[in-house]
Amino acid sequence: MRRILHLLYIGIQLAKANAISYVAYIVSTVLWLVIILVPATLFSNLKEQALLTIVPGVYAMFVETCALWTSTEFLRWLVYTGLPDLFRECGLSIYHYLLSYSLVDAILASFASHFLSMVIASAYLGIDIGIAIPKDMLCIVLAIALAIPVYMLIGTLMGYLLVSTSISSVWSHVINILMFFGTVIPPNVLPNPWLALVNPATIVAELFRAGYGTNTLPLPYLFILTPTLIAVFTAFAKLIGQLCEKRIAKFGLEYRY
Amino acid sequence: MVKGIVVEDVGKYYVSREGFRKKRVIEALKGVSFSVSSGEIHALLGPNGAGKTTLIKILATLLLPDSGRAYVEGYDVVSQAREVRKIIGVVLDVSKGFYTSLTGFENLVFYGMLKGYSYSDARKRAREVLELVGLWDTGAYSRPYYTYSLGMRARLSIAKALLTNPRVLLLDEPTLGLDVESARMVRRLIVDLSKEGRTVLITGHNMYEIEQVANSITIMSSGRVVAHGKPQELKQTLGLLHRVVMVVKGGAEGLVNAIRSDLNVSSVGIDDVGEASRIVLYTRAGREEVIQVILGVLKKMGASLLDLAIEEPTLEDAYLAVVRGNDSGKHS
Amino acid sequence: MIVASIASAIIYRELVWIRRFLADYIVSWLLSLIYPLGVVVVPSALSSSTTVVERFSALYGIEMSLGDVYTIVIILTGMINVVSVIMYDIIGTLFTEFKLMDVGPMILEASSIARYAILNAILRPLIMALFSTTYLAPLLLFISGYKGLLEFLIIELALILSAVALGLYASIFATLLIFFTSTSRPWTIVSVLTSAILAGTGIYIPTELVPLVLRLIAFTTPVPQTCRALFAIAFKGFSQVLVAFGSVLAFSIVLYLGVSGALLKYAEFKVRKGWK
Repeated sequence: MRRILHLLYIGIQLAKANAISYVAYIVSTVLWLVIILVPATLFSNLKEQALLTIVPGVYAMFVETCALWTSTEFLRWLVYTGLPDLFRECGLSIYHYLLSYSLVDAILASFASHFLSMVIASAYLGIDIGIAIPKDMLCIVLAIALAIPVYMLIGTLMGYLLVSTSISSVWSHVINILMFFGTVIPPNVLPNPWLALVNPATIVAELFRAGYGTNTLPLPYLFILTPTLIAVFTAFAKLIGQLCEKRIAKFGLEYRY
Repeated sequence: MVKGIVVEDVGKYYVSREGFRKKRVIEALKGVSFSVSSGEIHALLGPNGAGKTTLIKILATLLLPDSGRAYVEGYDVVSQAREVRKIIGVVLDVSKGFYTSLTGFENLVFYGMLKGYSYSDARKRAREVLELVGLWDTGAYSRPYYTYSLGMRARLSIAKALLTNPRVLLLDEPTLGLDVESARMVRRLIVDLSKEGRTVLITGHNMYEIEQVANSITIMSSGRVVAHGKPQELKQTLGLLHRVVMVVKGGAEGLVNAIRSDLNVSSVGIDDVGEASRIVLYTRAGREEVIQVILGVLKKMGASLLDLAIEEPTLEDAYLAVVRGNDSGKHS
Repeated sequence: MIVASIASAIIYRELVWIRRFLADYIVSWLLSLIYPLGVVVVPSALSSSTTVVERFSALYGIEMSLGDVYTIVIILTGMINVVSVIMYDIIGTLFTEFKLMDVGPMILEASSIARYAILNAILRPLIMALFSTTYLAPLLLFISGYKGLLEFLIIELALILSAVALGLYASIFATLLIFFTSTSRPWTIVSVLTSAILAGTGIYIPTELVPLVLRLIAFTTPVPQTCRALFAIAFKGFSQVLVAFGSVLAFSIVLYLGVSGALLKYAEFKVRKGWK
């Protein structure tokens, strides 16, 4: 427990050092999303309902995106500065690095992106910003509870992909786009909505939507799946983190920018 | 006859911002003057922050001097910068300076085209210089720059400097961080280039290396020239000490007293080595004089000389003496 | 002569990079096709495709079919590609050259920063705009036959000219970031600027619906006019729009060339003086 608290403290300090980058990243991601969000809402002619169906997915998508880029940062860009080696010397791995950032990324930054998306989209569409307040807080809390294991899982998966292949950042962007499905793009767009569960963040997005009453998957199933997935994702994230570390120990890390 | 490089009273200061309003002025060069004859290898020495790199950059037309003038083969580095660029080859930081995702060959072709070569000429010339520095036969030319070791990067930097067949080479620490073999290759190359009539200005910290290649030296400290001349002249001017080690049989004390009367001896030490005696003395006299005196005294006194070694002061001794303002030049 | 040398060197380098990273480039150019998915398929799933077409027609005041909607949406992805590619390429690459890879001295030895950067800002967008929007040709051919191909040629011209103007615009920011600030992460600024320009243009929605702040940012670039021109080309009307587009483009190019040229000249003076 103490170690977790120390890691969270380190993550917060590291995030503070990059506060401006965080703000810029949130603003730019939201503006990129607005290019889709606003037209999609406008053309559906459903305004508030469309907004509350699409925008809650931003939270889940942002959780995944942060995991992806935090992983890439640790295992590619920061190799030059020696930070990964510093962590590894202390017996810490990509798993711990992600854990240290989990509070900031999976809660603070993702919430900020969600609300900023709501604000900007409302400004475009002339909708009252009051709709951004969730109706069902339990679902939101459950979404957050699941968001952290999802963050860890995506981060460690991405980490393993980076250390076991030499994929460039373009492919990271491709994976980033695939994360849209099930999150920003709701499951009911797909031929079979349950296909969206291939994306671990789909349940997070659906729980968040349930907080606004616009979930597209049945709520009872979401409640049943959530505790199981928390346990499964956490276990898998730990395992993949260990595999990642073994691979780094054997083959080393490559610096790329 | 036009000198290779002429530097006349060059001054340079840097303005560095600290915070929003505060500025700091750093005077990197304070009235530096020296010259280098054509076809000579001239070494520019000095501690870190002496202004060597700044001077190289001024001569390479990368920086503008704030006062004074500098000429390369008679061309003013400020008003005739274009002509200067046509005749110089520059090596700055050997560890970077190229596109990391391009191969060594592609980097040189790009540089050649920037310099005005046609595509085919640039390719041809790139191959020639890569062969010269040993990067062609190993196949390294076709690998991305980011895969290169430091030695390979240094070779590529030199290849780039030679691409346009320059008359003057400006090399800023070209052997920094190189392994023994690579450093030796670079030194050999520099000497060969000088024999072809090119003027070479080189900076460095490895005194042994500089002493091997340089015809003349300028020592800088805190932006000023503190000594200038040939290595041997510098050592003599500074009055540095030779270290003489003799192993003799019979009458060491008498021998030493006799030597003292003929040579300017700073200090002496005598140790017994079995039946013989080992004498170590320090003198400002030249090598020839030392040999003459010792042989003369030995003959007069009938002592047996078992071993003799005369160690000359090194360039490092001269450099330290100048930079520290210490002209005793004792060996460590 | 010097200009020709620099130009040929830049073109050589570009072509080497494209050849080396072709797969990565193709993937990144095709990524923008997610936008038609989000803009047409998602609202169609939430309501219906008929509603989407009706809303589109109502917003633009033109009677459209689903095919027309897909056509215009796909064409506008070209604009998204051009803006993001050019902004990142010009600013990011220039920063990497001068601050990370330290290629600056190589360039300074051969020429001037101003000349190099201006040529870079013109040639790179020309090449990258051409390559990054080539995918429109087969798509428009598929949707509209040979007429689509003809349309593609005109669209490509508009996009390339716009890219050149944007390249010069980006070089202003690149110069400021590299030579007048001590930022170590220009990519954060580039990403905000690029997304602000695109969001401020609206792209798929009329600019009039965009909040004023974002609109003002977008209007510092020729992107809104280019989007209007692309719309006009797609619906074969509004010649006045194309005339306005041409005028705005010409004015923008001259303005950006002047501003970036002046900034670069001063930046070069600073670099050669050794001022930080």
